Amino acid sequence: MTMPAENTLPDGENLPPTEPWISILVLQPSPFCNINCDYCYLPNRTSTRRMAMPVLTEAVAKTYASGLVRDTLSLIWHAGEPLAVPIAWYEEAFAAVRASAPPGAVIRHAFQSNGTLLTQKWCDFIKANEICIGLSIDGPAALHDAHRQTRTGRGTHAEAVRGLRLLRQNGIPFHVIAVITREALNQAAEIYDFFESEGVDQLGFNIEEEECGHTNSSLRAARESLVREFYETIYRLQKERGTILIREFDSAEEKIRSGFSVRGAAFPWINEQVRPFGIVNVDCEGNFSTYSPELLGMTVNPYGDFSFGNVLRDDFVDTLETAKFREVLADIQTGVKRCADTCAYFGYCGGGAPANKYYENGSFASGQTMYCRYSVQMPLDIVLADIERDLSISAV
Amino acid sequence: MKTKSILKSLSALLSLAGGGLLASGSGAQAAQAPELNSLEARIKAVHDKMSERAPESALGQAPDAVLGQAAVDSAKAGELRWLNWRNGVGRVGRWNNWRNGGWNNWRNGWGNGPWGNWFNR
Repeated sequence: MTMPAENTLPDGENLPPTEPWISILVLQPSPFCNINCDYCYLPNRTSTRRMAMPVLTEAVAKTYASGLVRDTLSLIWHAGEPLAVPIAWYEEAFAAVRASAPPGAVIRHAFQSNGTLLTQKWCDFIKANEICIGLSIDGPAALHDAHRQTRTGRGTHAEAVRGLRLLRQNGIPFHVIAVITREALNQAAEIYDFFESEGVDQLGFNIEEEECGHTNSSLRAARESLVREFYETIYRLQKERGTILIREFDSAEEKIRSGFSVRGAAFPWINEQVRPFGIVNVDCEGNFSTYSPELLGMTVNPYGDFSFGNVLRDDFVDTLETAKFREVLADIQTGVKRCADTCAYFGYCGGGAPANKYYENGSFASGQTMYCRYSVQMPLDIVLADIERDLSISAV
Repeated sequence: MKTKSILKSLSALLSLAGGGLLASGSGAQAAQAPELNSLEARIKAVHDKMSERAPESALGQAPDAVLGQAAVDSAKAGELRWLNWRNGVGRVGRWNNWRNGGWNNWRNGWGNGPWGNWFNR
């Protein structure tokens, strides 16, 4: 196996050496999930297949061999419940990752878990390996249990909260991601109060998206004003109490503070979802893709199966020569151009999310989505307006 | 098994199909459509006001050193945001401590994770 001489991005015509290119490697240890949320987009959640170690080592080695990794690589174990795979498997896997990466490479492992399988042994493993962990909990029990159920229809809130408390008892930092459905919109204060009472200090909201197998978001029928009221209530509570960091507002403020706009920038590729090979996704069989991870393995018209090869037999660079990759690249770039030409938020977003464009608009070569409106634009509107009020600036 | 750097091929491909189009095309279009620049203008106004309120001399100084402890203690949420904007240290009302303190393990410490990227978008 030939390894790159150094873990840096060389000078290139369009690839400045100071900017990241590959930032995330998403790996599917297994498609299996022990619960059955009704808004989940993943197929094959009953399959207990596991990634073989040669798949893992090839995925990591080829990611570094690409020459596009700089600094930290986030290695995200995803597309199934990561804790449904035994600790012993991860012990072997983490050793294989270390052996496959160049000396000195900084790799940060991350899990997003439903929390129901957390045990003290898992906490010990998480601490020992400094794993970034997030839990998926939708708020109070009634909201959570309406959608996040076992295959027999039992709610999972109690088990998820037990996992949350175990993390706290162990002093493990974590964040929570809550899916916001139509019924959650009227319960902003209850949601904030619940997470505050459980000691959660980092919280993100995923609007209920329309992706893959989940084609009918309950938010589609909601008035936009209700979503805005939800966000404004959360923002007010956060500002008054200062107890929870809200990802959407933090991200918005970061954009405002930095002042960086893609428009006219020398390095416009800030959005990793539209940056070819910004994210590398590998499923448990070794099939790989780039762009939005949700798309891997899906049938995406007109391209067919959304996979560009298999790490056991194909090299990333060969992908660039395929008609499928070039067609996808061209359509995603057309979509980015459409965003640039029509969206005032483009400078701070960089071109949206291809998966959402496809599933909401029917094409990568399209612009704004509900995801854009609710997850990027609306939080930015709220934070910017608030700062303008603080500074007595009239919106221009 | 061959393993190659993707850099050269990717760079060439983007030069042909994407990078130039995105970098120059978006800026040119924005110049023709002023409403597309409205957000940039608002954010620039915020930066101008912040710079005016929090001079370079405040950089690296705690709010109480700049304003006095009493002013900091009596500050309401958001009132001192402008100062934190510049110096990024210390206690600023009930607002931005998390940016520089113990909150952000996910950004600076062992809990560092992929906030802001696809996984946690």
